[in-house]
Amino acid sequence: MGPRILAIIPAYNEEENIVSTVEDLLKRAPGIDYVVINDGSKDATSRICHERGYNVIDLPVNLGLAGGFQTGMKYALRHNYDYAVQFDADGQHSAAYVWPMVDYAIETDSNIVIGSRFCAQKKPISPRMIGSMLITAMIRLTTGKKIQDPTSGMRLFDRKMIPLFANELDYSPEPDTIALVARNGAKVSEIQVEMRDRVAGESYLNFTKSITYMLRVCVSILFVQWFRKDPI
Amino acid sequence: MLTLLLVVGALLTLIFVITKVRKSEIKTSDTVFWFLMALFLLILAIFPQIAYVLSDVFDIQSPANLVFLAVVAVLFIKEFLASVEIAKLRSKITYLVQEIALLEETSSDSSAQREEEEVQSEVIVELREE
Repeated sequence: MGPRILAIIPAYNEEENIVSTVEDLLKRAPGIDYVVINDGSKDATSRICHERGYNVIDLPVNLGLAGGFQTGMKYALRHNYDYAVQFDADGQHSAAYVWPMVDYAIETDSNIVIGSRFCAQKKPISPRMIGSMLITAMIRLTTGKKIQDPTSGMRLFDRKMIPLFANELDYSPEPDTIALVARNGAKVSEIQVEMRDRVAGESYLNFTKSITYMLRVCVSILFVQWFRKDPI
Repeated sequence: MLTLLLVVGALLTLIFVITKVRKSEIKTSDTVFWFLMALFLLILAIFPQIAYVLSDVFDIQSPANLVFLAVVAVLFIKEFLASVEIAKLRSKITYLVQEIALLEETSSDSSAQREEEEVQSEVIVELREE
């Protein structure tokens, strides 16, 4: 029997995208289980999932991406999955890459595999990519490891990572946490994937949020991570 | 003297935040504000001219007053945001407690119903056997 894999799909107000996302997974990633974490959506996300018989967990209040993803990790831990993959509900991620990511993790014995947009391709110049380059540089400076696409939301976690992300405080699915576990000895690899532009709906990051996001990631990678405990 | 005070203030803030980080009692996102605050105090300590120039510009009698004013203003905003946050948390807790209570009620309802159905089907089976 092969490894058991769970795709965690945090969804907040994704009524326009959720069906195509789940169908894409069912079609292009056969044999992979999934769970939709409906993060207190105010639209029809929950109703659509229940009508179509999708595997969905409804959070009664909105927890934000970190809390929603952590719910999925707790689910993966309880059901004893070997791998958990973070998969966006907004249609950016393509399910065709999930199996290659799993195979790569097994092949290279990695703890985390990032579906990277810039593994084989160069980064285009845009404000967002400058932020991404800055994070790559900071991670290289503090951990000595090169992560080309730290902000990619498509990440695969193995058995060793699942309990950490499920139970530890402040292990959000963000670049600073990746840097932290990489510094503590986790093996992080990347594999080239294609990502689509958002199909419908609004992006999570607006201008002020981007600024606070960058500030938080900078402070976290440059200062805070030196003082955090290593729970491994 | 003001310089020394500011440096000590910055260092104490740093040490306090770092101990909280070590004990995992604070989230990284919440430390950002305090790090920036410590940085602000340090910059003022290293370049006290900033306080002098600004107090001149705003016609404030002494630079210390300006520092007080600035810190009070920042804390004022922080306090306001904190009460907004508390209000949000409070309504979330209320909602969660209500949801859990209602969930328990419906689940005990349905389990009572199930028991009833089981008794009924047993009765039917017994009747058939007779």
